[in-house]
Amino acid sequence: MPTSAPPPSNYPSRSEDLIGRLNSIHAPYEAKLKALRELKNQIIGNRTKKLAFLKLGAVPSVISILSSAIAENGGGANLEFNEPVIIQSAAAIGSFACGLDAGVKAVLDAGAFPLLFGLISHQNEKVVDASARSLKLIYQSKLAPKYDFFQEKNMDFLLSLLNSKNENVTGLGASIITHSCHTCTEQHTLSESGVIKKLISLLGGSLIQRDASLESLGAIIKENPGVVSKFMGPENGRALNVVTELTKDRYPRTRLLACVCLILIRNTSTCYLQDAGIKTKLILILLELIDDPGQVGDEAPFALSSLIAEKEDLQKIAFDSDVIDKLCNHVEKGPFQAKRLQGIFLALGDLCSKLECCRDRLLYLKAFNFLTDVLNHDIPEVRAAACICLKNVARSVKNLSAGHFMNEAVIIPLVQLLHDTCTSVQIAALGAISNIVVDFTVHKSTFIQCGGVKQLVQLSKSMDSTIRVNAVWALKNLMFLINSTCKEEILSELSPSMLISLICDPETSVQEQALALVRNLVDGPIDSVEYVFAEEGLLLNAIGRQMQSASKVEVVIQAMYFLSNVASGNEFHKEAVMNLLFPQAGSDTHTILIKFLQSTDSRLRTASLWTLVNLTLTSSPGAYNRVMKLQTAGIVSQLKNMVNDPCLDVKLRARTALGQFGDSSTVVCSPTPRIQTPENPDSSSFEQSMDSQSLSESGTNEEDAAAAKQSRCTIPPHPDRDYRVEDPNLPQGSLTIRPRSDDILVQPQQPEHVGHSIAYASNLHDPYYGGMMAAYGQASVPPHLYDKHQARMPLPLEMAQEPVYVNAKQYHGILRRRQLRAKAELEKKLIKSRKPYLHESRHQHALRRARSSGGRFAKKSDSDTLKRTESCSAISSLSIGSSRSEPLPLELNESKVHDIQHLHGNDLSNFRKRTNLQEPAYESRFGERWDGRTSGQQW
Amino acid sequence: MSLFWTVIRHLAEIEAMATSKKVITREEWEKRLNDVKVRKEDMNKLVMNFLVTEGYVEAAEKFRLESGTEPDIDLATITDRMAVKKAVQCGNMEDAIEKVNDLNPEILDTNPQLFFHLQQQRLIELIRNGKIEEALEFAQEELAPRGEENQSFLDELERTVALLAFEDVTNCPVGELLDISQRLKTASEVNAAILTSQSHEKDPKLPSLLKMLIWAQNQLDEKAAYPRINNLSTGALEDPAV
Repeated sequence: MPTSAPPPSNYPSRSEDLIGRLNSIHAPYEAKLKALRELKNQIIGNRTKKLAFLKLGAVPSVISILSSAIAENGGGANLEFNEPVIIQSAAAIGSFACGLDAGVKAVLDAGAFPLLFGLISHQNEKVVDASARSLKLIYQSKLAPKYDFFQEKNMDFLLSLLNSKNENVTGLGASIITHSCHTCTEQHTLSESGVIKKLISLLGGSLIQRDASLESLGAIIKENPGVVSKFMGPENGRALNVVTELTKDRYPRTRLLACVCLILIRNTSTCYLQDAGIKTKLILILLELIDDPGQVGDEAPFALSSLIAEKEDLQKIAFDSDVIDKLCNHVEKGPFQAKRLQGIFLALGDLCSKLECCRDRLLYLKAFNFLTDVLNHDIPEVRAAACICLKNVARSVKNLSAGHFMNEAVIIPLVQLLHDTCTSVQIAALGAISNIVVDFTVHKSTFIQCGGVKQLVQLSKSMDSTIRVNAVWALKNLMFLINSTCKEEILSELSPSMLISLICDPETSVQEQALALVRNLVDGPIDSVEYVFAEEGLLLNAIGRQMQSASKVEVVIQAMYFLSNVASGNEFHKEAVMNLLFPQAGSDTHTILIKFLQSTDSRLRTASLWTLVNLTLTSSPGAYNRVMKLQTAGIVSQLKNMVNDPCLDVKLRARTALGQFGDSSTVVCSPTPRIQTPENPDSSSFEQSMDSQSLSESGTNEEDAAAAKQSRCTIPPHPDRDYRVEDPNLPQGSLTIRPRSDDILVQPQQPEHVGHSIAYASNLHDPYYGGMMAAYGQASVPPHLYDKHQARMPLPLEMAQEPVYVNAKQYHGILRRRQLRAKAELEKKLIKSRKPYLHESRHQHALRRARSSGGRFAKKSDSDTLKRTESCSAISSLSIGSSRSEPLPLELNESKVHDIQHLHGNDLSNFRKRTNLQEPAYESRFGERWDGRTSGQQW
Repeated sequence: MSLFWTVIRHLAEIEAMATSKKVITREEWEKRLNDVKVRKEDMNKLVMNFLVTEGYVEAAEKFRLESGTEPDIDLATITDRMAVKKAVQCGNMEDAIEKVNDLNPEILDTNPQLFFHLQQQRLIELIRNGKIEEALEFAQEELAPRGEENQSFLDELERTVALLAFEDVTNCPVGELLDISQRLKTASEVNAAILTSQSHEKDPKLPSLLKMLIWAQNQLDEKAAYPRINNLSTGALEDPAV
């Protein structure tokens, strides 16, 4: 007995009415079928309607109709309507689940899953089609329950799906794999069961089967070298060709999926697809796919991003294929779906992550304008992508030097993003800020004026440890090379207790950043050290405790550099450091210093040696007592073990320290024999030989001829030169004093200053500044004599090289010229063709000459060698002398050597290149640790 | 496709021989053409492909009986597809949408652009029939949310609604929306989407072969004078102008 009259035909009934008819118990099957169809036709393709009907509870109604229809299947009075009802309700369920997570949830909650699976074996092909489609749509959502491949019956069922003749059913099988195959063991289980073979055979099937199997092949091989080699193996050698052919398919979706599949193979195992042709082809195909107006165009930039991420060779190919121009054109053409915009910015960000030419191009295309616009986009993912892109563009040292990023158009929206409700946006914004605030010029106050510090300090109290790390990181970079006024301003927001709690943070990465922050804080003029003595040294004690108990070596390294900086202060400061290192004033104190000196990590050894060097500077009055104490603790014998350390930096520093011990002890006690370690050729390690080569190249490229010449000498090689200008009372051995510029000479507190500058040198070693510190760290250089004694040298070094040492007297000139060139080049004033050296013959001669350690020219005669052994202490002081020599970022590794010749014309880009290139090198040295960290975050 | 490549290879051979602009007589040309063996079955498949893709179901059925060529798709699906196409061509959009959904509910659910164009056509039909109230309500309830999801849809929607602003719609700047060609455009878009969902090529092969023929002839024109096919509907060879 029908309860309501059928509505006027062809007129859309109101939603409530429709639901009423669905729910009505007494309505005849015919009417229900009609209502179901109407519901289905209303919701398909219509998100708003789907949501409206979900609210009205349509899904449980549909599913209860479905389940009663299944129960009656084959019997009852409504036979003729039974199957149509099943088909219509399955279709409606599928549509609710299509592209709408809320719909998927409702469908799953109402128990549709088992019902639909039961229908897969129905005898009516149309019922099978409808239920397989619906299940497939459900499996496209993350909310679908994970399919358990480890149960035998499940695997059998899956294989039966894949073997079906119905393409919707095989499609369902593939979707299940795509959805549920994540772990390595799942991938292996599937590949063992012959699924790969089946999927490869499906590649030859219909369009739907091809697409579905490409996608699930991707899921099976992803990041699993074992499965990839099985896929590529002799049995399926054809498979790769099939997939490669599909990248030329006429259907964009198929092309995209085939590209993604190839990218996954390549990213999993570097031994495949190394041919430059296929790389270029992939990039071009993806670029063309971005033109697609639909979903394919939205996904293509993500595929491009995964193809080029972290891979410099591919980024170069992409750059050569004008990818940047094309992507920028796309953005300007806009407006787009948010997803596409996000993908494009991610891809641009990846392009700019390593190559300076890409950053230049992007900036040249005025990308900054739309980049800053997008920072205010409605969708959080897009904002985050824009921040990531900005962060990578801001790796450009050249533009940083020129102060191009520190303007209000960039800073204000970024600071606003720190308040964002979405955590990932906050983190991305912090990353961008970290890089931008490195700014070498005086613009840092712009950031402070925009209220950024307050917000950063707020965020460093966040509950989310990732936010804390990034906030402290940004503060650290802000503190880098900053003047005292700005320091005061930051400290007015960042209280000592706040600093202590950050140093004692449960996350080691926060501790590390916080210590680096303090290290930057105490760097600079001598009174900077006083900051940590406020509040009765609570801060200092906290750091001391952390140093004793820290589990992570990076934390200890930062702590040691901090101490090294403090130890460059006055007597009081040095004694405080001694007290930290020797907590109990006993006679046979066992100091942790020995443990650090014996560390397997050369960075920690270097840092500890720097502290030692600063503590024992012979120019300071209390040095003798400290030397005695250190000798008692067994430091000297430990140092002697280190004079031939495989790490060049450690070796030089150890000799410096020993020299100082020697000097002090000769004065009073039984003379410790001067260390007589002539530098025999075999001690020039692999690093050095590499060094010399790169030095000659980089030197010529990097700086003008004079500087280049100097840069070949790792260490100022003239022991006869008198560096003790300022204080006639200084003992002869104190070659550690760095040469000063004249204006410094008049200042009274020079001895401290010397020490301090050394500390600064050690400070340079901040691997965390995106790894670019790497080379600097090795270089023990006091670069700045003036009041900017910054802790870190923020030039990103992306190539693994030893630092270039240059004459300290020229250091500032080099830096100044570098900045000038950066500006000039940005303003396109610079003449691009600069010769790397002035005279070919001289260059050839220089290349031919034998070199000793550190790239210095070897002495010609034996008499020279003799002289050298005599002046061995001079040599050791020379290594401090590294305090005189300045590290410049290197550019070459072997593969680059040949490029340089034509590159160097544009010497700044070289410089940039070199600096940028240091990073991977660094990574290769400290591989695992930095991976993803340095480049993944700030860098 | 094999036919095409045979022809191309043949043309390429001739091309290779021609150093300067060579004259090829009709006899020579025909002799060479006769040397090219094109299998009858391939020709039949080409015809069948055309009939199936274009939806001439009865002709396809007849052709199947007469030539014995099996179509690569179930002929019944052609009927359904043609019913949809016809509904669009007649402006009966609601019917068309329902038919597409019966055929495969995924098509419109996963293809927002097509769905929008169908809805847009529905709006156009409402305006054409003077149902202004209904058109406005439909635009607000159904189309406006789509416009929010996609900027380019919004632009098209604005263009369509602009029809309401003109007294004489035939003479207004957006008048072409009311043209029958708009229906045909929508119809062929639906047709292509259904074909794709059935894993079938969305365009027949024959027209692209003809395009290739024209391209190849143009290439050859630079190298040689030969009997050209100028009238594609008869395919007659015309003597070279010497």
